[in-house]
Parts: sequence; structure tokens; C-alpha cells
Amino acid sequence: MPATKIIEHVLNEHCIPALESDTREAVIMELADAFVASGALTEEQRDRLLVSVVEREEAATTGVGNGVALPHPKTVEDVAQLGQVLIAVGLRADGIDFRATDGEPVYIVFLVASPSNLEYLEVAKRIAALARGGSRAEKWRRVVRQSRTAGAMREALEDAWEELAP
Amino acid sequence: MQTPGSQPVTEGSDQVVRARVTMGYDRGMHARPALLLAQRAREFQADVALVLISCPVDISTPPGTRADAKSMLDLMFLQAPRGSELDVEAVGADAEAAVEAIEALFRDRFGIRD
Repeated sequence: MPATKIIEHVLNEHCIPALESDTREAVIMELADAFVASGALTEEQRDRLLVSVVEREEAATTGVGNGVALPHPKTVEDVAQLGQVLIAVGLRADGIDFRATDGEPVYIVFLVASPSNLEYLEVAKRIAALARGGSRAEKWRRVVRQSRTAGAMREALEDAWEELAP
Repeated sequence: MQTPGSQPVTEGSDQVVRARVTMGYDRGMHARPALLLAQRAREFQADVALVLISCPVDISTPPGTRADAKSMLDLMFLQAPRGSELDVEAVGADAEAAVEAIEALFRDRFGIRD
């Protein structure tokens, strides 16, 4: 088991309940900017992250279905300088075209920057648990999407992961 | 890297075709390999599953966890970092071909070259 819970890597400052951007690249940028605003990344680190994430996204969508996407850098080496996993989460009520695998718009976006591949796999597992089929995951996606504040988003994710993939 | 050849095993009335594979892709069960696997598995009528047998490092997914190989999200739940061993199991008319196709994908590291 991982030493820390995934939710501990989701900070209120990195939760955006109403994304202003409505395109895939702009959303990724808006989420990466949250890392800069909080002091988690320098502008230079953000720029490096952005190049890698967009490159990865162009190779194959990270829109995994059911309105969820998890953009991430092409390789962990691109964010090797980070001391820990950074996760930014954004919601967009009217959806974003992420060219998702199911062709549907994306409403919940997780930007995941992990310097460790193993930790990335732990995060991706939780995001997959939220995106999976079935009524329980669907209920939690609804709860997350209805969050109106950063704190509510974080709480919803914490509860969702506690039930879906502790 | 993996045990060659799939072996039909009779279990009850269903013929289960099973083969052991090893995750040779550096990054493990990321979204991309999961998607490629699911797409390939969906080409077959057989029910295809992947079962995590062992993992060389400590992860939260326990051995024995089973995923529907036709579901990308189910597959991501396995985590399966590099070096993990998994069983491919298929039941159905084209089970043998399905297992062979999944084995080939693992052998080719999902065809991902970057």
C-alpha cells in the first residue's frame, strides 16, 4: 500500500470548480497555472510540464470515458525535479472536447504530474475507479461534478475514493 | 519474458484458455496500453480477463485481482507495473485466438515505441 493516500496530493488550491477554459489545451494550461499560483511549480517548470502533457495528449487521448480525463506528462523524467505528486482537478459543467475514447465530452479533468511512475499508477487507478461503469462510480461522479467550491470538490473526491478504491 | 503458448484448461463445462504474460512495458498499465489491450480484446467474442498474479513492487492492488480485458478502466485498476505477471484467461468460441492476440500485444510491449 502507498504510504500516503492519494487525496493528500489534492490540495484545495489545485481544485477549480468552474474552469474558465473550454478547449483541451487551454484547460490543461489553466490547471497547470494553478500549480504556479500556489507556488508548487515555477513558471519554467510549468512550461516544461505543459509541453510534455500536450505532446502525450496528442499521441493518444487521456479522456478515458464517462466524462473523465487524466492528462499527464509523456514520461516521469519530464517532471523528475518535482518532490512529490501534484494533482490539479477542474470541472466544466458544459463539458470539454477531449477526443475521449467514448466520444463524449469531459466534465472532470485531473492533471497529474508525478515524478514516480509507481505513484502515477496509484493515482491512475483511483481516477479509473471514478470513471468506471456502474451506479456507484456514476453516483460519485455526479457528487464531484455538483461541487461548487474547491473544498467541496476535495471532500467529494476523498469520499469517492474511500468507497471506490481505498 | 513470458511463458510461450496458451494452454487450454478444462474447468467445468467451460473451456478456459489461459496464458501467463509479463508486463514488459516500462510504465506499466498506463492509459495507453490499457486502451490498446481493450481494443484488441473487443475484436473477439470470447470473454477475456486479465488476472494480476504477482508484482515485483508494493502496490495497492492485491494479487488475484481480475479485470475485464475489454474495459480500459478495469485494466487500469490493475496498475501492473513493469515486471508484473498476469494471466490472460478467455472463454468462448474464439478464446484461443483472443489469448494469442493478447499475448502478442504484451510481447510487442503494445507497439508503443516512445
